[in-house]
Amino acid sequence: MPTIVSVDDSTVPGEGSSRLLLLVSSDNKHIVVEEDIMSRSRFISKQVEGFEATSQRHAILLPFSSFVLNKVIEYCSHYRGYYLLEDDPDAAPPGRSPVREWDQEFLDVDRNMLLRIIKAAHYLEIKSLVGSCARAIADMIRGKTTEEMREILGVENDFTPEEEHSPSSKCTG
Amino acid sequence: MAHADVFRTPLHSELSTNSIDHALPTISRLPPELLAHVFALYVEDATARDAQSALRWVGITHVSRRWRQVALQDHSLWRRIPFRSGQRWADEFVIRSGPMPLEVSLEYDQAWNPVWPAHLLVKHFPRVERLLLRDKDPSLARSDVGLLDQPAPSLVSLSIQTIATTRFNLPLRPFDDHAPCLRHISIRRCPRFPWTSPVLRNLVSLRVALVATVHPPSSTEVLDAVRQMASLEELALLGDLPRFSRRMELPPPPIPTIELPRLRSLELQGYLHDCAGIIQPLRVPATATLHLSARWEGPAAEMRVLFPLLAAGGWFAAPCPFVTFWSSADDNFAVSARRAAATGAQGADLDVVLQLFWEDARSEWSSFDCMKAVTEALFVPKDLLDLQLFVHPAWTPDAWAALFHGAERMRAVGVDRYSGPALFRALAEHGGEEAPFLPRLCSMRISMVVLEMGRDGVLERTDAGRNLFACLKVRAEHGAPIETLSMFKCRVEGCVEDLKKIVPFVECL
Repeated sequence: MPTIVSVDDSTVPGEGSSRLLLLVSSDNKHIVVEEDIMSRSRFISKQVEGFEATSQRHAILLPFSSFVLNKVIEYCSHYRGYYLLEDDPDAAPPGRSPVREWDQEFLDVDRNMLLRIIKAAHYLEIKSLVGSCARAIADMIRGKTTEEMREILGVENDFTPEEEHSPSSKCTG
Repeated sequence: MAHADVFRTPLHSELSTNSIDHALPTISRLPPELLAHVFALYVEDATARDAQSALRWVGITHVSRRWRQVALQDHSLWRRIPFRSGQRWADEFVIRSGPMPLEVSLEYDQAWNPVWPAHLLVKHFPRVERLLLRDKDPSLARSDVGLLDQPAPSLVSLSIQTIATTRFNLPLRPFDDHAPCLRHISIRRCPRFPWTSPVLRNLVSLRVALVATVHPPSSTEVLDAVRQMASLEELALLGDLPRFSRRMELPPPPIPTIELPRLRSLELQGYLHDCAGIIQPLRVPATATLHLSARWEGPAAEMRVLFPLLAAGGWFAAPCPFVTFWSSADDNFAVSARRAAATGAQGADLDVVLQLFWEDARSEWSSFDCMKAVTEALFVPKDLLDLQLFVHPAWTPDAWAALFHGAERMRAVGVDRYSGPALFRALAEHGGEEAPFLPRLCSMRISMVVLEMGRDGVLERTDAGRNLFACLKVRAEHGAPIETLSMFKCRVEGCVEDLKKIVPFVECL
């Protein structure tokens, strides 16, 4: 669960017509963002619903860095106002994951950043971004040998020699 | 900001311990559900691209213990059974897929025609959600062991793509009349379709290519079946359609209508009057599209029987009515069309995309005469918006000008390697006149035309290429520019950039 800290109403920007949220990253950076932008995040939406129940304003503390948080905000800003099927909690999940060109460019980042973004998107419950990150990772290993997959994604081979060479059908996990 | 200072210190210490990205991230630290998500996309992609190597993706279970554990625990990864990899793997996948619905694709050929897959499937048929049966050899023996007689409580999609008409016949009571989830059927070469079966009632899409049989279905039987399919969104009936009367009355007599309120597309391919007989009772949304490929060997004027029906059904309010006529009798067409033109037959006042094909065209002039006569007989040229042309390359510019005389609304044309070079030349030669033909033409589709060829390491423009550039330039100079150019399978190595200088939108497919 996130840490929630009460915030003095008078100090929070956003009083008035425009509703703003204060997001606090793990490196203690304070980022003010319009609630509308972050409404794609189920996690944030639930937090905001909680605020409304208590009629108090809060900062939302997030367990990832401002660098990652800013990337997520950039994603949400790009799709502000767009309907994406994956993010509709009432819609059936799409049969095949859509490939969005902008997402491919947006996620053209190094492996570590990609993994940080997918974890953040997962935490924030932004299914469309999780899907696009997962596709980007899947694309990285497409057509690669087992050894190449390990190398690309930094996975350690922790099989015993017997396990490694046993056919998969013998492996029951 | 001042408000931040209030809680900066306590937050910082708290978050530093909770952070999910404080350490160097590795994929091994991803939650299992995320890793499974990555695997699902990887498997989906791998199996879609390379069905013959259905086991290649299993390599992910050899990367690390955690990957193996996640992959083995995710039943959905294993639901596409790789039958061609052998019975051991098929059994293994069936077990590992747990309770998940199965996706089954059985593709037989001379080298692979075993019986065991059908036997295995019979046992697990209640779990089958998607079933594709395909053969690539008409001589293969039947080996479905009554699969299609089994109740199919989970079956959503059935596709039978066979060369042999007897291999996977649908029984008269398919799935023992129990397939409540069945929504999609696609069958190629179907000699006997169970039109009266209750399993058809929930269909969303139906695509059937019928082949001639001794006892073809009656038109009433087929229309009654379609009437029951109120959820249909896509309907394609191809081949030997049920027979309707060859004498069409105009206006057609009133018959019970068939409401298909969700239909998005209708595709019909068959003899003209049979297509007309199916179209006549249908009532569909104005947004539904029609792709009609009608064959007719009688007098060309009779082809007009379709247009009042199409107009009455609202098809020409549809986004893209697409009509193709086929004839196997070139001369017959020409003669009939001339006769129709001479007797003052007028075309319907319709916006239509027209494709004209001639099989066995004997000479360029007979084809030209034929086309000109047919277009005059069937359509007032001024109503043509788009024409796809497959004609002889020897047509002269004057012939093109005569064909398109009066086609002042035409905005798009499609040409191939035969008709393209001749049309480019005609457009170049007539483009600079005071009243060039096709004055509103702004879009061209070109397929399989060689615009540039390499000789001794140097690219040279072909005659077709030179004429295309010439016609684009002359039309641009005279205020009738081509604005979009779509090229499909054209050789355009060195000239795309040059084309883009003249045409705003160029795409190479």
